[in-house]
Amino acid sequence: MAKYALRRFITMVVMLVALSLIVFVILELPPGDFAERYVHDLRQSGAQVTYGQVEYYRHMLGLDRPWPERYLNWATNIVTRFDFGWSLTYRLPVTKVIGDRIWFTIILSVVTIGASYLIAIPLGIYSAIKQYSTGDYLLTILGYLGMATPAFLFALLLLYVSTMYFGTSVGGLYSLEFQNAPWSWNKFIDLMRHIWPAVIVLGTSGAASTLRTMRATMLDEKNQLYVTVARAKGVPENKLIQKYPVRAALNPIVSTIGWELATIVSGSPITATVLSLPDIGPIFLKSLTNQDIYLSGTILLIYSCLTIVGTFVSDILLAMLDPRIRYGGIE
Amino acid sequence: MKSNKFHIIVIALIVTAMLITSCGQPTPLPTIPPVEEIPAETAEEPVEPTAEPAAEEPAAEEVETEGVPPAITTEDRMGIAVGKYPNQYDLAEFEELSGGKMQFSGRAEIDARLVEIFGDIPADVSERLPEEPLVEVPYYEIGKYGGQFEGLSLGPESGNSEFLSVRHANLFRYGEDLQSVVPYIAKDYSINDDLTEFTITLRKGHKWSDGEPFTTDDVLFWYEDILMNKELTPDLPSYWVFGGEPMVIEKVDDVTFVIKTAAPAPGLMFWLASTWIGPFAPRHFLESKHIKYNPDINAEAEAEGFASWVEYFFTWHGEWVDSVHRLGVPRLESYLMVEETTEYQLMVANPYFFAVDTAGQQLPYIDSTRESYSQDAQVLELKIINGEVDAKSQTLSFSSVPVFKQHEADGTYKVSLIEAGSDGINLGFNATHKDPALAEIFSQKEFRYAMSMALDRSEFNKVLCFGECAEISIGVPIHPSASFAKPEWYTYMTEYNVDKANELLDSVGLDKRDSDGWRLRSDGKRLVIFLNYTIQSVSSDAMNLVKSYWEAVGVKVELKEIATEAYRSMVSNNDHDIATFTSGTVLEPMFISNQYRFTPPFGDKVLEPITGLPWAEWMASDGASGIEPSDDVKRLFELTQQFKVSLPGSEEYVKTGQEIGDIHMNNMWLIGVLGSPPSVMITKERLGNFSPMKITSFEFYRFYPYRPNQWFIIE
Repeated sequence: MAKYALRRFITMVVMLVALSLIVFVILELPPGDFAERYVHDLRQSGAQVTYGQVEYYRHMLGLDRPWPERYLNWATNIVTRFDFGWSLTYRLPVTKVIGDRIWFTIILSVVTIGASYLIAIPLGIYSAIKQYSTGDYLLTILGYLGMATPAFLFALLLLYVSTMYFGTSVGGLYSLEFQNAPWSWNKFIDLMRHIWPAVIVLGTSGAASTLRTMRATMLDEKNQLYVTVARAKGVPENKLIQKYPVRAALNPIVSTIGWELATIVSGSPITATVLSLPDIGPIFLKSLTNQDIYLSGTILLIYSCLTIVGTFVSDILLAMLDPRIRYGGIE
Repeated sequence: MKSNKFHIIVIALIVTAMLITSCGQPTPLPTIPPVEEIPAETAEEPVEPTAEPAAEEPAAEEVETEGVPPAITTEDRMGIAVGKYPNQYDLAEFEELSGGKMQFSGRAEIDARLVEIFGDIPADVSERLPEEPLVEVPYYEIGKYGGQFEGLSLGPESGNSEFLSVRHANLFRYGEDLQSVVPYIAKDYSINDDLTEFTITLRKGHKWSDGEPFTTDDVLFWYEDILMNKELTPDLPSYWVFGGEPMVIEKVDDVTFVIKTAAPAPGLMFWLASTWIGPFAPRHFLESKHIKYNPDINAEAEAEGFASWVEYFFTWHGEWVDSVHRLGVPRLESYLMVEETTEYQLMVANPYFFAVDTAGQQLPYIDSTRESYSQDAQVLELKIINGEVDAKSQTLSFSSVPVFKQHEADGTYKVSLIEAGSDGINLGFNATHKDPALAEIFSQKEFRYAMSMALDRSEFNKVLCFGECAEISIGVPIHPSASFAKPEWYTYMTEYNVDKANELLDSVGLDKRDSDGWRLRSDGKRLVIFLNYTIQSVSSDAMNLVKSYWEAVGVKVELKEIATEAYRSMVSNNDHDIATFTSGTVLEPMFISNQYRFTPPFGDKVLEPITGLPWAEWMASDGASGIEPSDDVKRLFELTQQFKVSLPGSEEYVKTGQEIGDIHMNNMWLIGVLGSPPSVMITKERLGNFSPMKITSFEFYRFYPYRPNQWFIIE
């Protein structure tokens, strides 16, 4: 197991280096850059600048140096002292921009993912065991609705209803007293009180698809011979379901659980933008449209990093859960 | 009972997630909790009750002390004469006219966050004010201290010039009439008769927000070490160049300097009044970041992760004076940043601000301003409806007016429509098209007249603008609000007349039609106009209407929406049939200092050329290359040169300006489809001393002429 983990770890590091380069090159690919974008925005707002001044802003921001040089500078600073450069949009260090929002993003994502699993898995099991019952039909309809409704639309509807009928503050996640306060236990509790609409919006589609997956795999497993044997041996029904088919049916969900790791940090850009959630999603979206390459590059790098790590975690979890999985392959 | 293993998985997932995120991102973690101890809301509360007596103090004194001048407003002058500039006085001027001696007062408490950033601040307001503060006359009433102004924008530096204008302070500003230039940071100015020497005086004893003196040396530092430094400014922007030479700034004494230009620069004062660039920088603070004064700066910059000192310097100093992102940089504006996150920017009143009201209270009245960010236009609207914003018009779409109006009654805000000052939807045929047959057609002005008359502007108005837009053509690059604008420029050949349009088209050699009824070009091919547009400039609805009107007179139109980049490469290569992109408006302050919209290609030559790139080339090369333009175009170049050096308001200025307008009207290079919709202005009822605005536009720097520093919160 340790050797397996070590080998995977070395591959991971190599992949990360390659990824950082790919990320930077991809971000350099689209025509134009931040300076052009900035001058364009200035003109749109009526400022008297000519396109000749793009060069001036490029110089001011250091974008006139060739990209390999800028990449090396960026990558070296990351490796030597975890300095991810300056965000061109915010004119702040990237670490500060992301740092401002990362705790909220993690809390929101963990609560969302946790809640959706906690709700969806038992319901999926129920749905499979009581196949074709009223409850199953109801859950099926809800599941399809949940999967089919785009989260941002759901968010807009929720916002509309809460503003028009309840008069609550839009996108308000904290009570006024905590808005500017540093993180504390009380602020966390306050956040938990306000977080649920966001969790519902963000979690619905994930919960719906987990529910459907769980139901489908359970249906496959529950009629397997080993279940029949256990039942014939007189194992109590509840224990039987938990111990045999559920364990097997969790396989596809667990093998994708690691992928959620990237989601934990990424948030969901469009929905979060609509809800004005202070997570990383909207910043990511904005940095891409503004061609703020150091910020978007860093976020992409973190996502890639987490996806790779997540896959690793998935593999290990799966190996723990399912004894049929072996480390060595065929020798 | 659930499977224990499942719980383990979830917990393991959470724990690993926490561990990994903290590994991947070690640096941000310590910075997460903002250092700030006092939340803004609670910080204000104690200030307010104590601030009130301070506000009443001068009024009380007025009764007791004979010598204090009356606290006048622009509504009620109490018999005191108007000074040199209508809504403000110099201290000496005000004391002389009123026969009194001013007593100054300020906020009862200085914000603790400011002390943390800038060090100790003297409690006595007269130690913080200049010796000769600006005396501003509030519009309606003497305000009182307190409250927080809530602003909202799309993001940092995105749709926020309006919010920036609340705190903006520059040497001069436009007066409320939007015609005159009024001193602001500067005490006064004078110009020589040749318009080549501009003498500007500053206020004696004026202080930066860290208490250090603000003098001519700070102007010289900006000029010599930033503007004229080849490393910081490799290419001098054209607005500082006159007659081919950069302007020269010379120091006379600590509070006086002279700007000298190689050619008459009538537009310079107007440019200084409206520009976002502050022609000064805190020398005492920035010298240590400049290579001339600190030879080791490159090493310091590298230690901070920058490739050179230039980039590092620009994190402390920005060309845009209001765009502040680092704490502790000394400023002159009315509000100083104390906190910045990715969600908002919080600013508090500058204790060293240089202006007082007529009661002697230091401005600004409002304690703090906060700019929150919301990227989504719908959320922005909801927040406004919810009453979370004090004043806003920038980026609000005219199509949202019904929604705002619907909630105006139950909300706490007021909706008003204000002239936006832009030129609306314009279409420009490419008269210098590469295809000779098309160039021949497009270069006939009768053809352009016909295409203008084929447009049903009243239907346009109903479809796009709820009937609220002016049904005029702003094809002449001079806005109707300009001092010398002629009304006929905007109605010439704009009447909807299909018969007349058909007649004109027949008369210019487009009388033959094919079997489908489409008009044929002189070479026998069907006349097809490729209308490629970008939705950044015009809506698809508008372009579909244009297509339907033109096809009704037998001209086939192929519509295509393309990306802005594609549009740019098309027009800068002169490959377009028709131009639809006009940005940069045609208001007077703009064309006083920059007349690029007057002559071909009638827009910036990279993104917005309309037509005539080869004409411009011919003129620039003295006929060596390009295409020889018509006499009208040649005259236009000549007139523009004259216009550039004539004093605004003078007879010559009006005469040349009007001839330029006439030539444009006659040639109709740009067909204006519809006047621009008004801007929607939302203001909260609680915002005191908010005066009606004539125009809201970046050219006048939005709120700046209307003195936001004397706004106050009515409780």
